[in-house]
Amino acid sequence: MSMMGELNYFLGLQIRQLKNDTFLSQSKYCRDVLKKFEMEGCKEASTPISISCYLDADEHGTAVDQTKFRGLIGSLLYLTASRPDITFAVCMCARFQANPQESHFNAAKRILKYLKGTTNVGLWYPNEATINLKGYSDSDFAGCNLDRKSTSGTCHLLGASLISWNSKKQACVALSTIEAEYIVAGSCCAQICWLKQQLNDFGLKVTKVPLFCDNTSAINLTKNPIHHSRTKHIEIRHHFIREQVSNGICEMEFIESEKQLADFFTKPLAKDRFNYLRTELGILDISNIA
Amino acid sequence: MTIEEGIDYDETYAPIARIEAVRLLVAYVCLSGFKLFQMDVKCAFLNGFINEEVYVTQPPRFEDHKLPRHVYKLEKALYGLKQAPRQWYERLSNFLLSKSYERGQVDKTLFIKKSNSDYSCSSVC
Repeated sequence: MSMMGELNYFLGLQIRQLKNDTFLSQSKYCRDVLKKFEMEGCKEASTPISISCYLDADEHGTAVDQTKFRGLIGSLLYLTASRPDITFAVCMCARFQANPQESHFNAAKRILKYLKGTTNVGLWYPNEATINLKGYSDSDFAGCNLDRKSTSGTCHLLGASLISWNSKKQACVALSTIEAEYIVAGSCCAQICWLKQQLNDFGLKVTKVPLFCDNTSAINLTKNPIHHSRTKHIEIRHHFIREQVSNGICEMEFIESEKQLADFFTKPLAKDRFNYLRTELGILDISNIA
Repeated sequence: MTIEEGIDYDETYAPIARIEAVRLLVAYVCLSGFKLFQMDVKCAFLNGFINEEVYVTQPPRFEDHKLPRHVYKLEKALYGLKQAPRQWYERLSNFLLSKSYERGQVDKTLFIKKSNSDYSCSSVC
């Protein structure tokens, strides 16, 4: 057994512990990925995915090597451990792994171009006095062009530190924005339950965790168990959130769409909006801090 | 090499830390003003004890020229055994528990020890 001193490299994460903050990054791995896919000399892109990017099955396109495409997706997925900024874009590309076409490969290469300019970006955990847990949930209604399923996006912050996030195409078709938001709030709440138990092990008790949602109707639906004609069909499992709210595990709170941090994980964003949310989430370039 | 269930191994599940749990620990530590240190166990899996009777053929550089047809009986786990991660987890967790660490309720890879002023926690990976 050997003592390795202060934690600085763990499970592929480079960890820098400073006096008042901690910084997590995978910059070395990021450079290795760029090298592996021969994109070291490419042009830089300001966002990982273009707002005009509409990926579909593209059955008449030119097929690309499936092994290479999957390898690229795998490498990028590993990078998401400290890079929430590429999560949405990678998940988007990952949907086309069964039959990858050139258009999908180009979208994946755009992520590499973005990484080229943001190699040293990572998660910044500031040392704040208050430790409180917050959850954000947002959805992009009917975001997928192929089957009109919505995209879920959630993120959780402890103080100002982004600890968990998720971007996922929902498993069933939502009939309204309320339903789409309601489904995400359910999965966001499930993650809060887990985080709450985990913090309990650390000896930290959290109650009534605020869950920020930008849809008032969805919030009202978690509070008021009236059956509306348009919400009758919502599955029982999505009512899980209602139970958790009544048990005091979490509390639904309204937030303006502009401040909705989970927006970052639901759809392609323009440069300004993307940069704003990236900074708000504490995803920063190490050279700007130290 | 053949490994057969029920003879060479039985239970193989070993818990591993989720990446979110690791980030949560790092964030919590930072917020509380602690510092994280790390330790590493070299060839960790060779330290687990095994409950089954497993034999291996003489590996290169460990041949017995007088008894070339004999096999070795394993006393501890070996890399490649299905139960190796589980046995290592068991040995390490037993050690930590005997040093009055407490295992996490949900995350079984988290061990915490609190004394009057000290707080030590370890995450096993």
